[in-house]
Amino acid sequence: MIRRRSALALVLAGLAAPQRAWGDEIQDKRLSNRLELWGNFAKRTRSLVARLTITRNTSLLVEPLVVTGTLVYEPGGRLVLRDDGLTGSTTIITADSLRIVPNRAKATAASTIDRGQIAAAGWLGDRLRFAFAPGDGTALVADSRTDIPRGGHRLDLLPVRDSATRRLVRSLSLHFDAVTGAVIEIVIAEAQGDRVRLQLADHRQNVPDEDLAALVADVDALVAGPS
Amino acid sequence: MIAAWLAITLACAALLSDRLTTSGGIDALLPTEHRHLADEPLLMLLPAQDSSAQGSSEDDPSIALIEAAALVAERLGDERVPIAAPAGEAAAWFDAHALFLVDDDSLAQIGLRLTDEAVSDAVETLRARMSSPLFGVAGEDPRRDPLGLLGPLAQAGGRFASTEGPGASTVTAAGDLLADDGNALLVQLQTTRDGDAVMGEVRTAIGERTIVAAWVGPAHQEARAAAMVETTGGRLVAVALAAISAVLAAALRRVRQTLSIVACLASAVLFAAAWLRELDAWSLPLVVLWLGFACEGALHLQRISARGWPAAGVLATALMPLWLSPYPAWQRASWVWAVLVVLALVPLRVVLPAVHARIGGAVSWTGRGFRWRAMPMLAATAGLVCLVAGIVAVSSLHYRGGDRVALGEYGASSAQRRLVEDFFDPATIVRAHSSGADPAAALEQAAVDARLLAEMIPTDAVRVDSPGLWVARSIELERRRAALQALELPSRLESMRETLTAKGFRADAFGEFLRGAAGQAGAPTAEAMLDGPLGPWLRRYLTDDAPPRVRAFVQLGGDPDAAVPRLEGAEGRPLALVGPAIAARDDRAGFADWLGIYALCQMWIGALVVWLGTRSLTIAISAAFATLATHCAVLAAMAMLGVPVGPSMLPALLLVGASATISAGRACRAIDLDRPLFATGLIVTSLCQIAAGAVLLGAGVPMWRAMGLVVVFGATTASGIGLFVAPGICKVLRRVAGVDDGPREKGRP
Repeated sequence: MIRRRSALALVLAGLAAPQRAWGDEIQDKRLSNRLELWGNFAKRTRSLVARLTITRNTSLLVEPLVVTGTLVYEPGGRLVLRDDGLTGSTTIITADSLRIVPNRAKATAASTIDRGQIAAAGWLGDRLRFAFAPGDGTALVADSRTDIPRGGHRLDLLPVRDSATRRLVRSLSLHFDAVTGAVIEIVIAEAQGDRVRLQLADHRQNVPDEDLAALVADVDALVAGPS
Repeated sequence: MIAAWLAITLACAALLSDRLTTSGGIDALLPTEHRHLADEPLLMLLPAQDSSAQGSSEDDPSIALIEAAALVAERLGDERVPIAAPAGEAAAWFDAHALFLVDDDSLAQIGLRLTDEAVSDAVETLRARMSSPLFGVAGEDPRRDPLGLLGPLAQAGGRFASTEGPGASTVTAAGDLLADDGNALLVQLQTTRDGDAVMGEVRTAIGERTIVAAWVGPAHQEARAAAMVETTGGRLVAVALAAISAVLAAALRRVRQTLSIVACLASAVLFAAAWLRELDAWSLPLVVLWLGFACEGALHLQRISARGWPAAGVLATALMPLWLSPYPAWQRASWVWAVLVVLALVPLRVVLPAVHARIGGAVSWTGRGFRWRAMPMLAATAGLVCLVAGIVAVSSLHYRGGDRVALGEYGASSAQRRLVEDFFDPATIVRAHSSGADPAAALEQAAVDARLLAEMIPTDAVRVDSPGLWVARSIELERRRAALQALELPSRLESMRETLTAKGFRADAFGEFLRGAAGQAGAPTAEAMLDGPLGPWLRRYLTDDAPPRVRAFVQLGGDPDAAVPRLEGAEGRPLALVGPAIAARDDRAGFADWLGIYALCQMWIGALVVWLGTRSLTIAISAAFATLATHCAVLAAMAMLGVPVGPSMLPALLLVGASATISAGRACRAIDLDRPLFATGLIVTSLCQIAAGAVLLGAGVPMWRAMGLVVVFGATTASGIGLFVAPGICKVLRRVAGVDDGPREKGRP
């Protein structure tokens, strides 16, 4: 009896090993396909402007928070998410800093997030920035585990399993346009249960510099604070 | 005689296996009150190396570690104590009492933030910020602190450091510390049981999980040091005997002579082992050095006195000055060394001649000596150079305290490294005690003392971990109650609830904050803490002494050269800090002075012994000068080589000083008696000492390396100074004093 069990275990183990390797191969292929789709759009990006709708589902609010705004990716690598209206805020993400500035803010309300102290902030900021930056996708999926669901044109990025980031962020999902490869939706699942959806539309790639400058002029003024 | 010696040797060998034990002795140079808490071992839980391969990608190692820690806590019961206040209880305590615990300035700031306009502004800002995708990772906790009231408190000089634990780690719900990357968990135990027994229970509790448990901190260092002594002790003694045999064989070129000396030394080792009973990391190197220094008793060199006892006397009293030192291990060594010298000299001076009489091969120096003469100019110049070099070097020497025991590879482990990198360096943790008539009174006193300790941040201390910081001082309670009443909290909180609702927030989601702020009527008194959910955490801080005492732990700044902070409470009452780092810093402050005192003591004792043997004051003074010059030369060499100075190298320094005294006495005496000086014998003596030092140098243990280096260099220098400097100085002294060149009596060579 024992011999039969041992033999059965060996057979199952023998079958499982190639199955696993085959599964890994499929995942790699899907990841390659998604990055290729994303790259079709991203590789042409020098700058980007898109309409933005942010929806935050949170237990703090009676109703989900919905704001509209503009996403601006600048050639220097700065990503700006600017809410319309004075009740919203502006998020500025660069390679060095992460800032949230209320649009109606007094200077004291602006906050800089310490990337060194909160690893999750650095990880999330980098993923958002690299989602719109040109490249081969290596930077986008760095420091992350990837999951590519079978249906849809989606790429899920998860913090590596032994990182402090996982305590704040569970996942970040990128949805791509099936034809152009542009990022049309980003869903962030936070560890405490909040869910943030960023829907993008009206993508305009490589807008003239003067238009871009006009768009971000008030952002610079906002960051500088009230004089 | 030989039969009796053999019988005693065999008896000692038979006794040895039962009587000799080993220990680490990492605290042996620290005064008792400053030692690490022996009953508080630290346990680290880590994922096993292969766990990543076995676990699924979704597995979070921190969860597995926290589960394992819970099992360990369940198994060990009261032997496991929270290292930090359990996160939930700590947060609840602060939320309920924050307004009592903050200082007046912070309370005034909070008052300003609770006005209707400020609350409305804060709620609008919160809503605006929530639209950012980065809001959830911005480090805010809106449910607990929607208005950012606790923000300024966190910056208030570490007042709330206890909730964050001693290092860059987080406190788990159970009160253990979890590393920032979630791959290590630190558990505090409080037990007097044997470490192996406790570890056995820990492993049973963990079971088949892919978690590794390891001791870290001082308990780990002590265990590793003990293991090091056990594994290397026999080998080091054997290597030392082999090295001495090689030196003797090369110099004497006689098999029987060499073997009989080594046999006597080996028997002395057995006598010493049977008598000592315990070897630790400090006594083992002394035993090795003892072999090197004692074998000169077998060589029957030029004697300082007719009977030849001054050399033995100088050697036996070499460590006597350490009796004045504050280092318990060296205080004991001051007389243990004398006994060891006697144990070695008895077989070498009594048994060895008997052996030679029976089998032949006695040491004969006939025809080997040469006439030596004093060289005043060379002596004065060399002596002066040594003194100046030593004086200059003293200021540039780096001090290494007795709290830092460097075990090298023997003390290294990945868990120990993680402790220092991810949690804290135990060497920087010191303690303060507050006492009272009962636990509540002691805790109230701790509240007063903790504020005093917190003033050390950030100049002298990094963190203060005291339950006293969590308790309001009784003298301030009434004043604070009045201040809180002036804030009109209930009406302001109601207004805030309305504002939240009006702006679309679910007011109940902020219940944690609203309940905490509304509950500020209950003051954070000592009684409330002792009776509340934080009571079990307090067990680690409350001691069973009479009267009861409350401990506070202070993490000092990383600069080991900083002075010890002097704290003075109300009415000039001093608040004493204790701990290894304090002992080391205290010692450092006076080390240079005490080094001088030890050197002077040795010079005085050595000179007295030489004078008693020769009745010549000039020889005694010359020998003392040679000792001082040797000390200075060794210190200069240490400064040049970057070898740290400290209590660990004191015995080595004093031993080479004694070697210089003996060498100087012999050289001066040989010239006085107009007898040949046995250069080979002197060189052999030095080489035996150097061999012992070289054994320590090559042992691969940093804490012994400095001792070995001092002996290797010092023994070489001592011979040179004894031969070239002492006779010249003696001659100069006699010229100055107007006495003749000493008695040309016929003495024994």
